[in-house]
Amino acid sequence: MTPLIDTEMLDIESLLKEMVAHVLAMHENAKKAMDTNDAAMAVKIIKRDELVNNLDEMINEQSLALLATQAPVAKDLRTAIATIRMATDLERIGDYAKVIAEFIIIGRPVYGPFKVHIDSMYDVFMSMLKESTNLFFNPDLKKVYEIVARDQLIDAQLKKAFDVIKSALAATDDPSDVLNSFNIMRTLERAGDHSKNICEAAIFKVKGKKIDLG
Amino acid sequence: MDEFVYEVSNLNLFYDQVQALKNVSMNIKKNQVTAFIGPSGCGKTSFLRILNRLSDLVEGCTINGTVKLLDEDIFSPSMDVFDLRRRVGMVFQKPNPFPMSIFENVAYGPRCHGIKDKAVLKQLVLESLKQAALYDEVKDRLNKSALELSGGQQQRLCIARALAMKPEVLLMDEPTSALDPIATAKIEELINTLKKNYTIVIVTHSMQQAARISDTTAFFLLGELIEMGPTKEFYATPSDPRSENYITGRFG
Repeated sequence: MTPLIDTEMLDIESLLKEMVAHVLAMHENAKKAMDTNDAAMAVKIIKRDELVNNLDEMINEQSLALLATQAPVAKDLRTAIATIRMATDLERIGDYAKVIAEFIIIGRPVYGPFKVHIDSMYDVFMSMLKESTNLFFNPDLKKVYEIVARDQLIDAQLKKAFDVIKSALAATDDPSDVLNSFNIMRTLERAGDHSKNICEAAIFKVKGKKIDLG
Repeated sequence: MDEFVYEVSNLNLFYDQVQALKNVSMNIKKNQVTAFIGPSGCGKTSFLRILNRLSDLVEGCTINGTVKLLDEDIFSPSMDVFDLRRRVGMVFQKPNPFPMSIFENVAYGPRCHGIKDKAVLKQLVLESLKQAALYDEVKDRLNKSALELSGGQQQRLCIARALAMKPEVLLMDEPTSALDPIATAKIEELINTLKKNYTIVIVTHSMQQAARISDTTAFFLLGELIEMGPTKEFYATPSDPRSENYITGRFG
């Protein structure tokens, strides 16, 4: 007979996996929509964010019920707490896809000289998101540091772009495209930080300790 | 540095040919609550009963190994067993008040140990009832039968009865398993208060109770001590997979 707690935890895990799938798809589509200035796709991304928010609420409610009724301990307790943390980070990462989609709807979001930086940041961030979420479900702590180290690449790109923004602002009468592009980069930088948090949640799930990954 | 009340080394217990405890070693810290958990038949109650040599009363029971109470070997010929049981009080699963008044229940032990002065006895009884958080509920009916009390009150009376002997250690064998949640909460609160002055060792089948009230948890399985450590760590990150499986309900 399967313990009741296993059934409830599997339910919550499937909600979390659904959330991961939505957030990954939102960012994959945000990148595509950004490359093609596809406002219709951007609208779909914004709608999808509501699903992600609902899933986050459902995970919180079901986790609260699990804590109240099943009194989880040991790995169950660590998983329950790590799941709540990861859902919070995913919800924020989903919000960032929505922010990028809103820039796309405004029109012409990527200022030419930034494109190379944004593409690079997006690629690194997507690899971090895919692998950190996979790591949460299939813990392999050896991989954590490798994933987290990539966040420095994102930060470095943002730093490089800062010089570009200064000259771009001086050369244009309408700084909105420049600022929009820079905001997208800032958004990706924050999304990278949240992927790092997911790595921390994966460690917590196994070790029951918060390890600051920098 | 931690001060230990009990230091147990390589303890083995046999009931005739059946080995109930296998090479158990542990230290029990002073002024802490130590909880023993484990499935039925794992040896936790047998171990508890060794600590004040109640095990002596079991026919066919053989023990080897060392149990020191504050550096004194409890099996040493010089150990006075009656004094040991005064120093190490016990509260059982089912409240067992004597069929006499509330006052006499608490006065009985000290009187048997020679305290005859009525004023001294009265002071000892009132002090013990207060320590057991029962005084306010019974102060107007001290001469009424203890059997009129509720189950939770009877159990606190048994705790008062043990405290009247001025023990150093209180052993509790599933002290709340026959009580409702409100009476259980009162006993748990009491245990938390009492640990300031006493060392408490509790056997419980409620893992949540062990998690709530104990500082240290020891997990027994098939007569072996599998793991013992700070309760918060034990319930968050147990180190032995058998402990993990037991506390998460996936044992077997």
